Amino acid sequence: MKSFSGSNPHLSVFFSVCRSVSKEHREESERTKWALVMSEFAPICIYLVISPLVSLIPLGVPFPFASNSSTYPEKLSAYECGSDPSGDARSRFDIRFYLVPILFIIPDPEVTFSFPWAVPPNKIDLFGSWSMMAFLLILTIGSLYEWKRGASDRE
Amino acid sequence: MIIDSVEVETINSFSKLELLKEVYGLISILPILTLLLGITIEVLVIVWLEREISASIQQRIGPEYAGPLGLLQAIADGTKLLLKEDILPSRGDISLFSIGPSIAVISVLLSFLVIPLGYHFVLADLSIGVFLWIAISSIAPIGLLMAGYSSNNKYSFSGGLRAAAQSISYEIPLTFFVLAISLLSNSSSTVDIVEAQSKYGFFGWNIWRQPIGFLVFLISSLAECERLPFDLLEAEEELVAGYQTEYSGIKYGLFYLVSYLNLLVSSLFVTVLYLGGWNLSIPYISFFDFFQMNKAVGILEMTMGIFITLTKAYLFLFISITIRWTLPRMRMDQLLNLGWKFLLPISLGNLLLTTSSQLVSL
Repeated sequence: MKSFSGSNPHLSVFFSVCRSVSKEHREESERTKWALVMSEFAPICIYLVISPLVSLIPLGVPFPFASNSSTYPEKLSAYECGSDPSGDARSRFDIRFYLVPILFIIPDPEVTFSFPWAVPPNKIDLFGSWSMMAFLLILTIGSLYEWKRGASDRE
Repeated sequence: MIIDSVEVETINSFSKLELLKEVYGLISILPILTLLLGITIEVLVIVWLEREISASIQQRIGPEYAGPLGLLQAIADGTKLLLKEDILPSRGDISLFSIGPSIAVISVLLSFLVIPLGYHFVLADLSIGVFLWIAISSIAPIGLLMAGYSSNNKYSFSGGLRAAAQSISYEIPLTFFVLAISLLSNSSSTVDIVEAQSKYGFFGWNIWRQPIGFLVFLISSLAECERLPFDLLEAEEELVAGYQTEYSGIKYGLFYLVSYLNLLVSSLFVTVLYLGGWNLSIPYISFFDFFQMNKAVGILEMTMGIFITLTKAYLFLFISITIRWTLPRMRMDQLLNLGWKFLLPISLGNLLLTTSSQLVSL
């Protein structure tokens, strides 16, 4: 049930529209389409509900058992190997940790856009592959520029 | 979507057979609960395996007190962590602090949706299976960043930033190699990828068609799981415990769980993508020609499929655990250089090679 591509899409749309002319046919095809979508994505939706429950329920379990930390305020201060915490924790950080995600933003959609291209090679033939190669070439030139300018150097 | 007239008729006849279309969603709770139970048992086994193998490599005895042969060690640890006090750091962001580990757990748990253990034995046979895994595994660094930032601790913050930088740097070579596998199998569905490797038995595995891919996938998934040699964030000499410093009790247990679940997901994906999944890989022998009964063959096939997949996954797990205790740790800049300057060009080159070989064979 993965793909429903007819050999002549316009003709099959015409047929399905003709079939849906009468009201009960239209209702039935609506229900079957809904059923198809539901059957493919129902496990995902249920799993999407169950897995947050699995991860959030253990957070509430310690409440009846654990002791109260209001008697020892030192427990709640930041850990700095025994001494008192010096300075604010949210001070400046190295700009390169900001730069790495920005440099990640470019190749990430590059790969995302490559996924639809990679799957049907016999339908897109040589022309399709070469057009994607042009896209990858432009982004590779960008990556080379970034390398030469030293954006990904030294941590 | 475009539906043929013939297919509309078959779908209509099929819908007349199923009476309770609205209840269809609820029936799928049972496989999900089975999967969660299986995951729990596997985590117990992995924790025990890790400790036993580490002990053997270091020539000492592993856990032996909790249950026979120390098998219930993980349950003992988990129960202890559940009963510990939940410390919330003062002046830290409490809501982010609580949600951080949960987001990481959710993203790893969701990856189990598309792992096939048999032909019809997958929770969701999506046509974009592996892509779903790649997309969801990108959510985990958000949880780590939340954990690091909200702890109000310099070391946690630094550890969280480094964890996020490491995770995203190695996602790109990982995705490019998964893309190359998709190219070879003409599909992004995990079931199709395993089916494409089933033709010639042992010699049809993708590991022979993408050997560089196998090695780089191993390296990248070790980096994604933050295991040695990419262990910098948990190294006690470096950053105390990185983004996990201020965590105690079951939240720390959730991070521990994330680490092992991630390793399990990566091992299962290595078997699905490179080692042929559930196929018994003796070439040219079909195992089930010997059996005449129909129903028993179905159950036997399912059991064999699970057994074979898990055996191959545990091979990769053994390799990861052994690597952890044999290789030294990499520095942060060496790590990022490896990801950006070495693996990314290799992945692009591999994509080019694979595309040209596909075009030549057209």
